[in-house]
Amino acid sequence: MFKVMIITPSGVLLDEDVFMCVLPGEEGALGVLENHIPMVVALKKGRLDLYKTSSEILRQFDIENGYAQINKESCFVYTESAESVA
Amino acid sequence: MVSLKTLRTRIRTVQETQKITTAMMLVSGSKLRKAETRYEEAEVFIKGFETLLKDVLTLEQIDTVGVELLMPPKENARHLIIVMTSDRGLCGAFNTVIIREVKNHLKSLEEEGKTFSILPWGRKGRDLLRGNWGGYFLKEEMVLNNETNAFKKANFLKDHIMNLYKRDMFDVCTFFYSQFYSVMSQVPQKEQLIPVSFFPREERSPLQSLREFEPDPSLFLESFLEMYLSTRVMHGMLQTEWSEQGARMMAMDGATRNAKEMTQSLQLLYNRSRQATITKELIEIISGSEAL
Repeated sequence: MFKVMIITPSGVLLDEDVFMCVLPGEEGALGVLENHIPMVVALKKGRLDLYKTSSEILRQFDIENGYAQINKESCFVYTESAESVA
Repeated sequence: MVSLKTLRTRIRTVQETQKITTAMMLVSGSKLRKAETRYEEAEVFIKGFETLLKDVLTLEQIDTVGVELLMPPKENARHLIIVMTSDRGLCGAFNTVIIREVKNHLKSLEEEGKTFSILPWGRKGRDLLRGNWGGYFLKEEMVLNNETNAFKKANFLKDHIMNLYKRDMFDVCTFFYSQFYSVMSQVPQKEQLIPVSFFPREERSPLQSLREFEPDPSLFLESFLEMYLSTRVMHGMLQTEWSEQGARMMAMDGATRNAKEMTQSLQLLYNRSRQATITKELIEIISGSEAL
């Protein structure tokens, strides 16, 4: 499990521990697990999926353009705006 | 001597004014709290993004040579000044203080023989600068249709600035806003927006260099920097709004207190004159009856 934060100008929308996080990268979707190599990724408008286990989706967000900062134990997503998908 | 009727009217007028200033103080008090929450919500984003940018720019693998936004200006001759003030008055010296700072900056630019144009953001600042510096205003008007989202507003202004930059209208862009410290003190700030002030390379640590990018950083560095500019502009806007409410609250608090003092002294004067009139009439009656 590692920590994922979605940070927008109108506040922190999510701060949770997840198993996997799939980001809508500019060059294609990108799955991030714990102990990922430190990385900075440009994100395009799209869907961000958070997995509780390898197959069970915890939550989904529609996000605008932004950037993700991936560290070994955390992933910070900076985006203009994000909306939780019910 | 002032007639009793005039005094009564004056007392009533001052009391009415006091009601208004009290109400305005309460209103700006609640707006102040709202502005505070708005800034605090945005703060994580602003601060976090700044750290991220700093991290990225200090990496050895990043080549900043070709990035225009980071380059020291070629000529440093043409300046663009952005002035953030409030749209409404009745907030004490709030706008005047910012404008004074701006005027000093403009004067020193003038002495150095540089050319500049001004982009006022906020009605009061525009009005205050129009007199002496109106000729330097940018001809182009910005049309912003009731946008309330702070980031969208900031993005709008950033796009406008970038548009001017890409058309090579200026070399250096500085912006003035007000930083909120407390309800009692708001301090005008000067910040260089373009080119982005460079972080010294000495701060690099070998650990940080181990970072991958997707896509290649040269491909997104420019839009990355533009997003950073948006966060700076948003920071300025939110701080100015916050400061404005603080300044207004203090101004209205002072006004209420003054009105209270004024009512008291007027009331005292009124009572004295009333007593004086009564005494005078009594003396007239008594001396009249004695004369009989």
